[in-house]
Amino acid sequence: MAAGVGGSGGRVTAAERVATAVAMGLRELRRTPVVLALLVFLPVYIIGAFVWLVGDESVPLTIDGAETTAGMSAFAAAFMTPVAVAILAGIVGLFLMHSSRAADGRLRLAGLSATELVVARVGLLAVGTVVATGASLAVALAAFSPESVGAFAAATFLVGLTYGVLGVTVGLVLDRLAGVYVMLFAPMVDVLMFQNPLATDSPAWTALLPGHFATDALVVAAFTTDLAVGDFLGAVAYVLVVLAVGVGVFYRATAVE
Amino acid sequence: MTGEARTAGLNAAVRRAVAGTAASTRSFFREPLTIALLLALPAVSIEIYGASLGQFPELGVFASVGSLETTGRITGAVFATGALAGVLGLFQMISARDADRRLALCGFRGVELLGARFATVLVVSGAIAAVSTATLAGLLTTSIGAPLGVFLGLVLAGVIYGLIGVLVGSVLPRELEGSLVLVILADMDNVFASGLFAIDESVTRFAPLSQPHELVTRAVVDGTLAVDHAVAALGHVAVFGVAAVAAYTYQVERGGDD
Amino acid sequence: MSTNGRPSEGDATDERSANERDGRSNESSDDSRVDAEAVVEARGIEKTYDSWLPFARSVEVLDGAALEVRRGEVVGIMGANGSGKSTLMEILAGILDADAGTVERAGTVGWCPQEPRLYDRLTVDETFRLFGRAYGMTDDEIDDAREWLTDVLDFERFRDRQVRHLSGGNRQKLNLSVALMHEPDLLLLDEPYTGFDWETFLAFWDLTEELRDRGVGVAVISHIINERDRFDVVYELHEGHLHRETVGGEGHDDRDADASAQPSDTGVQSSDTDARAAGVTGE
Repeated sequence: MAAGVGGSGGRVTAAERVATAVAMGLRELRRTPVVLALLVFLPVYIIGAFVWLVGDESVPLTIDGAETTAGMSAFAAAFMTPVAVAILAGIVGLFLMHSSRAADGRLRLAGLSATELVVARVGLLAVGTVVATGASLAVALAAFSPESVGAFAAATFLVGLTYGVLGVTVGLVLDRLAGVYVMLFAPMVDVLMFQNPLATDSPAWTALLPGHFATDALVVAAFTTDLAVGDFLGAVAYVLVVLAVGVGVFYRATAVE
Repeated sequence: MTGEARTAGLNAAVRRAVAGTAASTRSFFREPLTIALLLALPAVSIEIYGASLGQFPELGVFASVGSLETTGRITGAVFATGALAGVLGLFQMISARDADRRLALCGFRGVELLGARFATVLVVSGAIAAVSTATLAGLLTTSIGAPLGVFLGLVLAGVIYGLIGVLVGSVLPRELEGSLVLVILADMDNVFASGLFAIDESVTRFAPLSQPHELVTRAVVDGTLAVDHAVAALGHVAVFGVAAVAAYTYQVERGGDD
Repeated sequence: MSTNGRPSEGDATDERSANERDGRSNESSDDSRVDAEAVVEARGIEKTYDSWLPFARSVEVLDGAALEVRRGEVVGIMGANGSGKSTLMEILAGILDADAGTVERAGTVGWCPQEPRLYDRLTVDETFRLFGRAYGMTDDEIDDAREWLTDVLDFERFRDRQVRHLSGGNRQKLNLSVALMHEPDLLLLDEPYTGFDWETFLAFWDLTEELRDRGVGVAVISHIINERDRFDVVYELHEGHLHRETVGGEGHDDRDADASAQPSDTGVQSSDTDARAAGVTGE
C-alpha cells in the first residue's frame, strides 16, 4: 500500500517532531485573543464577583460525611474555583481542537505519526490546563486561604484536566457552537449544582459526573487538613478514562491510511 | 410628494419591513442546531436546575420564595430564554453587519432595516418565551397561579437579552466568541438574579434577569402580576434598547469591515 | 523516499536511476511516459456519503472510478461542480477511506487541498518549520525548501505574516508549498491556482514542468477548460466514473502554449487572454 510519506527519515527524531508540534500549538493559543481574555477575566468575574457579593454568614457543609461550617465568602471562593477552571480548561480544549482539526489530518499525512500527534496535543492540553489552573488559583488565593494549599492546587488542576480532555472530545464530535454551549453549561451544572457540598440530598448518580472526585478532593483540601486520598485516586482514574476515550475519538478523526 | 405617492411609498416600506423581518426570522429557524436548542434547552435547563436545587436543604441561607425545586425550575426557564434570545440577538447583529449594508444599497432604508432586525428579536423572543412557558407549565409540580405573568416575565427576559446580544454582537461580531461571552453573562446574571444567594437586593436589581425572574416567581407562587418589577424590567429594555439601536446604526453605517 | 535539499540532476531515487540505466530519459516523451511506473493507481473506487439525518438522501459520489498517474506525467481531473473530484483526490491521498476499491501508491505523496488546511495563527515561516519537521526534513532542508518556494511563487515578503492575515492568493501559495516542500513522488493538487495572479499562474506551470521533468507524477483538479492542453492525460469525472482522454502528444511544449494561440489536439484555442481571464477568476 502506501510507501509512506516523509518522516521515516532517521534524521529527525519523534521527540523533535512532537516538540515542534507542541511549540507551534502554544504559539497558536497565545495568539487567540478570546482564550487569553477568558484566562484573564473569567476567574475574576466568576470567583471575584461571587465573593464580593455574597454576605458573610456561616454555612453548614457536609464534607465526607462530617459536618463543619465555613464563612460564606470563603465557601464561594473555594467553590467557584473549580467552576472557573473547568470552564477555562474546557474552552481551551475546545479551541485547541477546532483551530487545528483540518490541518491535523494534513500533518498526519505529512508524516507525523498518530502517536506523535496525540502526545503533542495532550502535552499542549496539559500546558493549557496548568495556565488555566494558575489563573484561577491566583484569584482564589487572593480571596481566601485553603487549609491545604498544595492539595487544593492539585485538585484544581485535576478538575481542569478532566474538563480539558472533555473539551477536546466535544470539539471533535460537535460543531463549534454546540460545543461552546456544552462546555459552558456542563461545568456550571456539574460542579456548581451537583457537586455542591451544601447539598444534603444528592442523588447517587451525581458521583458519576466528571467533576465529582476532583471537586470532593478540592473541598476537603479547602476546609480541612485531611487529604482525600480516595477522591484523588478517583479523580486521576477519571482523567485516564476520559483521556482514553478522547484519544480514541482523536485517532479516528485524524486518521490517515 | 402627493398623497398617493406617499401612500405607495409607505406600502412599499411596510412590504420591505415585513420581507426583512420574515427573511431574518426564517433564516434563524432554518438552522437545525437552533431549532434543537430552542426545543431542548428550556426543558433541559428547567429539569436540571430543578433537580440540582432540589437536593439542597430548605435552608434560611437561601433567600428564595417558594420551594427550592420550584425556584430551580423558574431559574432554569429564565436562563434558557435569556441565553437563546441573547444568541439570537448576537447572530442578528453579525449578519446585519455583512448583509444589511448590501440591503441598504438595494433600496432598504436604514430605519426599515433596523426595524426589521429588532422586530425579529421581538418575534423570536416571543417564540422562545412561549416554548419556555409551556415547558415550565408542563414540568412544574405545582400549578401556575398566573400563566400570563409567567409568559410576560419570560418575554421580557428574552427581549432584554436579545438586546444585550445585539450589543455583544456589535463589539464582538464572531459567532463563537460572542456566544461564549453571552452565555457566561447570562449564566452568572441568572445565578445572581435567582435570589438563591443572600445578595443585597440593591445590587441584584441591576442584574438584567432579576426583574423577569421576580415577575415569573410571583406569577407562579403568588399568582400575582408584579407590576413594579415589570416596570423595572421595561426600564432595562429601554436602556439596552437605546444602546443596541446606537450600536446597530454605527455598525451598519461602517459596514462589515472587520 | 525524500531526497536531500533540492534535487539536482545527479540526485535520483533507486527507481529513477533504474529507469535511466534502462535507457529511458527524463525528458517528457511519449515512450518514457508509456513505460514509466505508475505513482498511483486506483481501481474500482466507490464512495457514498451517508447522512445521519433520517430523511436526508445519501449521496453516491464515486461509483467504480479508476485512475492512474505515472511518473513524469501531468494528469488533469475535470468535472462539473460537486461531481466528486475533491473526494476522489482525498481518497488518492489517503486522507479519506473509500467504501470499496484499491489505491496503490509507490512513493511519497504531497497533497494540496482545495481549502488551505493550515494553522491560522502560525506565520509562513512557522508553517514551513512545522510541516517540514513532520516530513522529516532537517532544518537546512526546510530552509532550502522555503527559500525556493517563497521565491518561485513570489511570497517571500510575507514570511513573518500569520496565515490568517494573508490574502487568499498568498494563503494558497503557502498551501501549495506545504504540499511539495518535501519533493514527493506524487503531487495531488486540488484547484491549486485559486486566487493566483497571472505571474504566479505562469510560475505554477513552470514549476509543474520542472517537477514533471524530475519524474514527479502530478494530478491536478481543474475546471479551466482552456488549460486542457497543458495536461498529458485528462480524466473527466461524470456520474461517479472517470473517462480517460490522452491530450498531450508529440511536441507538447508548454512554452508555445503560453506565447501564442495554438490549436491543441482537442481543437480548443488556448489564447493568452482566455487563460489569463480563467486563471484570475478561478474559484
